[in-house]
Order: sequence, then C-alpha cells, then structure tokens
Amino acid sequence: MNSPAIALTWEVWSRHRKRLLTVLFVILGFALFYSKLCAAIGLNLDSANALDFLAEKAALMHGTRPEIFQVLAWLFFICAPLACMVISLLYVAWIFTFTDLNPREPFSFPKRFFTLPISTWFLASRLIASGTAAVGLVYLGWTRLVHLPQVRVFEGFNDGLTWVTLLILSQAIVWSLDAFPFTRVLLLMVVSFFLLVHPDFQWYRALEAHQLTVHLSLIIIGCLLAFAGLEKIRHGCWQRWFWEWRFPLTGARTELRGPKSFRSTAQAQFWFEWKRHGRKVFYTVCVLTAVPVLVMIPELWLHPGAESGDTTCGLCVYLLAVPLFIHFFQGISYERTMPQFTANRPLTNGEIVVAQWKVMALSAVLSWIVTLWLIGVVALVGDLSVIKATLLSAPEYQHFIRPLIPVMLLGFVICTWACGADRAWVGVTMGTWIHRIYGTIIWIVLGLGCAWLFAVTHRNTIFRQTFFQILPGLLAFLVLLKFVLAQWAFRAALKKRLMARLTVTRYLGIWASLTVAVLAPVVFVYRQESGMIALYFGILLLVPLARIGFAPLALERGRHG
Amino acid sequence: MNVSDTSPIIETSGLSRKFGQKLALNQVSLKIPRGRVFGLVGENGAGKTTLIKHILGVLKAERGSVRVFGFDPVADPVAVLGRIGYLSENRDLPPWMRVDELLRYTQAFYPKWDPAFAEELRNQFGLDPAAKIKNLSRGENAKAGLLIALAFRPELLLLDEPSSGLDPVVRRDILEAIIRTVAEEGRTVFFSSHLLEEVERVADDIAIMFAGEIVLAGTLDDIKDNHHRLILRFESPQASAPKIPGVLSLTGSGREWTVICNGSRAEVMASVARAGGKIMADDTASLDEIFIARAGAKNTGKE
Repeated sequence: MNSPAIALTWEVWSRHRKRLLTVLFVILGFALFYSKLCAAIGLNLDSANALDFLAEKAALMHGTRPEIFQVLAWLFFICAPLACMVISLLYVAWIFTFTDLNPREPFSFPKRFFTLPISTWFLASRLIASGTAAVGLVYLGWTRLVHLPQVRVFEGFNDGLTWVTLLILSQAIVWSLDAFPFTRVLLLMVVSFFLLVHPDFQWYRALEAHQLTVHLSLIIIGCLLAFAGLEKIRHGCWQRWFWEWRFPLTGARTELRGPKSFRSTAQAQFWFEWKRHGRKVFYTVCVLTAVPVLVMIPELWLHPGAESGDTTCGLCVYLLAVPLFIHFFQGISYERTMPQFTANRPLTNGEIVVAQWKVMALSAVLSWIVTLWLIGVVALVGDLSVIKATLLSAPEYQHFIRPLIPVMLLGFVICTWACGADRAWVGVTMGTWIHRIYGTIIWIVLGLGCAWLFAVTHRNTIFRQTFFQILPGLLAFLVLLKFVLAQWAFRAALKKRLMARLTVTRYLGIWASLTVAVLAPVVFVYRQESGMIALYFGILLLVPLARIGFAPLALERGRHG
Repeated sequence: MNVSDTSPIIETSGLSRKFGQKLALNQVSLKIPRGRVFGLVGENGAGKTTLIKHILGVLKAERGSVRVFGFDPVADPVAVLGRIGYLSENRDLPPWMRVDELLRYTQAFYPKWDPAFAEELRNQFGLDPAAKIKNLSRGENAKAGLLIALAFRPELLLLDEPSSGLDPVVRRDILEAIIRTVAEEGRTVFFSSHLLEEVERVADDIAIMFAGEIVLAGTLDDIKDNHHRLILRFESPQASAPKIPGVLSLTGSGREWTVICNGSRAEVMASVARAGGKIMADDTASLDEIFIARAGAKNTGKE
C-alpha cells in the first residue's frame, strides 16, 4: 500500500468485506430470480404503479372468491426488493460514515485516524469520495441488474442523486454532531425521510424543475459541514458549535433518578437489561415509526388527493413491519463473549435469561402500542381507499380476519417478542453449534415462508397442490420436534441447575396460556372450514418453547467459555 | 456444603487450559488459605488473568478442577460470586451507567452491602455520583470498580492488575491500605500484578507464573529467605559466563559476576570454588531479581 488513500480504502474493505459481499449477493440473487418469480406468480413488473395493479387484481377477484393471502403475497413481492434496496443503500451509507462500534464511544468517529499524518481535508474528501462511489455502485446494481417494480410512493428510491445527497448529509450529520447521539439519530431520520419520500410532498413538486440545483446545493453544504465536523472532532472541539443546540435528552444530567434501591436481584437485572438493550430497541421503534408519521401527517391532511391512498397504504405497511424487523435485528445481533461485568453477577444463567426475556416482552408490547396508536392516527387522517379496495372489502376479511384481529395482534406481539428474545440464546454463541441451529431455523422459516407465498400466488399447479398436501405433515413434524427439543432442553437446564423448577413451571403455564389465547379463537372462527390443520400447527410453533430451555444452556457456554 | 475455616479458600488442582494451540494454563495447582494476601506475579501473557477467570467461573476448566469456598464456580455461580469482590483488569463496567446507578444496581446482588461504607469510599475516591462511567478516566474507572468490589465486605477480594491506571499516590495510600485492612479483618485478598515492588510490600504469599505454569509458590518470607544474591570475584577475567551448576541466573563480565541462587548455599559455594571464584557478598535477593532469575531459568531450560 503506497498511499494513504489506498490504505483507507483497504481498511473500509477489510472491516466490512463480509457486509459488502452480502449486499452484492443479495443484489445478484434478486437479479437472477426476482423477475422469473414474479412472472410465475402473475405479478406485472411493468405496471406504472404496482399498487394500482394490486388493487385491480383484487377488484377482479371479488366476482369469485378472493384470496386475501394472495393479495398480501403480491404486496410482499412488490415491497421485498424495494425494502432490500433501501436497507442495503442505507447500510452502505452507514459504513462510510465510518463510525466505530467501540462500546465506550459507540458510533463516534475513530480518533486513531487523527494520529495519522494526513490532513482533515484529505480524510474527509477520501471518505466522501469512496462513499459516493460505493453508494453509486450499489444503486446502479439495483437499478440496472434488478427489474424493480414501480411504486409511486417510493419514486424517491429510484434517484441516484438522492442517495448520494443522503450519504453526504449523513456523513455531515454524524461527524458534526459527534457529541449528541440522540439529536443525530433524529436528524438523520428526518433528513432520510424527506429525501426518500420527497415525491409525495407538494412543496417538493414546486421545486421539481430545480432538482439538480437543490441536490448539488445540499451536497456542497454537506461536504463543508462534514469537513468542519471532522475538524472539530480532531481538535477536541466537538461540543463547541456556535449554535450549541442539542435535543434535551442528550443533555448532561446532574440530578439522580431511578429507583432508590432494588427490591430483588431479579428487579435489578431487569432494570440493567432494559437500560442495556430493551430501551434502545423500543426507542428505535418509536423514532422509526413516529418520524415518518409526523412528517407525513401534515401532507396527508393538507393535500388529500388521488395519490394519498397509496401513501396511507405504504405508510401502514411500513409501520406494521418496523417493530418486527427491529426486534429481529436485535435478536440476531451478537457479542463474541458475554461481558465480564454480566458474567460476574451472582445470578444463575436462568435468572439472566429470564430478565432478558422479560425486557424483550416489555419492549415488544410497548412497541406495538406505539405502532398501533400511530396506525390509528394515520387511518384517521389518511385516505384508506387503496387499503379498502384491496383488503378490507374482501369476504375473507369480513368473515374470518376481522373477528380475529385482536388474536392477530397478539400473534404479532408474540412473534416480535420471540424475534427479539432470540438474542438470549444466540447472542453469545457465535461460531458454535447453537448458532448454527439458529441459522438453520431461520432458513427453514424463510424457506417455508417463500414456498407458502409462492404457493398462494401460483394457482392450479402441481406445486401448489403438493405443497398444501405435505404442509400439515411437515408442520406436525416440526411441532413434534419442538416438543422433543423442549423436553430435552428443560431437563438439561434443570439437571445442570441453570433454571429453577418453579421458573420452568411458570413458563410452561405462560406458554400454554398464550397458545390457547391464540389457538382457541382461531379454531372457533374456522370451525366449519376444512384444511385448517396447518394453521393450527403453525400457531403451536408460534409461541417459543424449546428456546426457553436452550437459552440458559447457550448462556452457560457464553458465560463459562 | 460445610466448609471449615481451615480449608483453603481457593483450591486448584491440575488446572489446564488451551486457547487454540496456546497452552494458557498448564497443570496449575494452588491452595490459598483464608485471611492471607496472595500475590500472583507474572509477565504479560503468563496466564494470570486466565487463572482468575477460572476462579470466577468465567472460564470452565478443560482439565483439572477449581474449588472456591469449596464450590465449583461454574456449577454454583451464585454461591461463589456472591462472596467475591472482583476488580477486572479490563475495567469493564457498563459505560452507559452513572456512578450512583452502578452502586444501586450492584447493591441488589449483595445482601451484606454496606451503604455507609460505599458512600465513605465514594467520597474517599472523589467519584461524582452523577458521572457516567464512560466519562470517567481510567483511574476513576478503577476506583469505581474497586468501590463496588469492596462495599459488601467480601470474603474474598479478587483484584486483577488493580494498580493499572492508578497513580502512585492512590496506589500506595489507598489500594495498599485497603488490601491490608481487608486482610486484617480476616478476609482474603488475591491479586495479580506485574509490579513486583507492590507485591513485595503487601503480599503474605506469592506465586510466580511463567508461560501458564506456577514456577514458584510459597510465603514471601520463605521465598526471600531461600534466594540469595551472591557477588563472585574470579582470579582472572572470564571471557564467558562461568559454568556453575545450581544457580538460577548469572550476570556480569570480567572478574566480577552476580549470581542468584536458591536452596543450599554450600553447594553453590563448592561449585564457585571449583570454578576458581570467591564469594565477595551474600545478600537476600529482591523479588524482582528472583522473578527475573526464575523467568530466565525457565527460558533457558534450567528448571
């Protein structure tokens, strides 16, 4: 490596090569299979607005017997590549903000670069240039290689200049607000949202003719701010901006708060886990749901039009996905080893696990309360015509889904909880057989999900018939496997004294109650329908059981090396 | 399990541990009695922290056994960890906590927590209760760790490189005073360090580790009594180090050479005489000299 520029590029590549390669493989996967899959299920990718296509198809079904799951599956197929594109581009943008994952200074710029004999301008310009190149390449990969569906609400995603502007503004915000993490996240969310969903804003349309000028101006301002931010960090003046504005939560606190003392070790550990993980997950859900709603409400209110139905539909789908995704990402995040501070607590593994599961349960419940409240607000203010046309008027909705909405919500909460709480047993087991089991389970679930989506959208084929014939047997086998594994895991955990017998009994009670709470209404509503056995088995698989037993066993490995 | 007061507080037997190809601990056997200050010395990578992690149950013994208060720390973490005050070498306190939160949180796990003593220590260490751990200096972080390790008056105080990050004044006036006070109250202190002078000042018993093995263990007085530093003078200048069997190290040049030896002085004197030298001075070796001699002897295969 003969030059600092090559060395910097090499560092980015070597630190993030697995992540960048994953992005590449995802793009290639979509490029190879997506359009073929859509053709097989009858989804027209050339439609000017894929949501209109969806509404038309749903309307056509009303003459016969509409299948609401088919519409939902189409919606999934429309959203999946767009979601992956947005996630991958945001991910690459994050990589080039160059923030460290050092727990003492999370998401701050690594100070070691300032000891290198390179100027701040050199550092900033190289990071901006390499980030722009990477974002540009990923963007080109998505738009040139993958046949993406057109969704009017998401037109902003199809603008390369927007993504470059977003990258540079992100770098500017992250570097210049190094000392204000919460303000930084909030500002990033607002900027991202304004830039990515800009076609929906009336005021933006007025500026459409000057798009290039607007973006170039933002890029220049971003570059200058990014440079100034790095310069401030380099010289230890990161808190001294002339305007000194910060969000109140990030301010220094001098008064004491929280409980004066903890009643029990369980309460103390719950508090610890909540502060360490739970609140972050919950706050992330709040920010990711509230900011788009707050930004979009004035627009929906002040400018109701023909397109606000699409916006409302897109926003509702997005809001429903956020809690699940955030908890899933929390579930798959890991640490190489258990922090020694936690490992040294005089607690059994079972007690540590129970605290983590309780925290994730609280986070899931609170997240869904916030999300549902925001969906309610959107439904009040927005235009529900598209949702009504595609989903709410379907007989399936009226007869089966509507009476089961509370049960479905409970199912969502359980699913969200289970996703987040997986961290308790995979979080500190990277590279071990436990982690491989978890990976296998995820692939099985994804595989089954894809096969199901394909089957419900691909009518009258041998695949569909065969799939629905073998599905009950397959799920029955998985249920049996779940019980066998649960029995083994609980026995092992009890034998090793990792869990108290009372804890096991209590959890079995919780499992039985939740399963009955979901299963009983579903059985009642579908009592006269045939072929619902797969659904019942699916519900039995929904509520976590075996992993509760595995978690302390996995933790034992993480805790004792 | 009833454990009598005379039984060792920590007992390891044939403890071995490998990390990949590296043998981190090799057949480590130790018995540490109650009410003593035990210093574990060794160079970086000798296996001190690995041994401490086994005592805490943070690492499971691959071979051999570990008993603390008569319990297996992996099988009974609550029974063991509830009686140990531990200061980590890595100062791994949660960075997001404030000092007061750290105290209240830790208090929940130890029924014998003494709030007045904790407050006294906090004042003594000059820690701001509203300060976040991540904003503390390395020394303040060490003090916060020491505070939570001490405030419940543990039966066993386990300190991994406690001096790291502390300035000399704090080290001498506070840390050593605390260690002595704990020991005088009949409790046990186990600490690792590579500052040999510090170990020499406060430890009753020591063990020297080298490449995962205990090369020397015993009371400090016995060890010092058994090791001698001899200054030798030869009739004619020696071109290379004279061959004297039974010595741990030999340094010098020309006519004057310094020998560190242990055990029978008579045998060494006879060997010196055969090599044509005379003993000019005979002193007690410092712990520093003993450590270097032992490490050198281990390296050259004299042991």
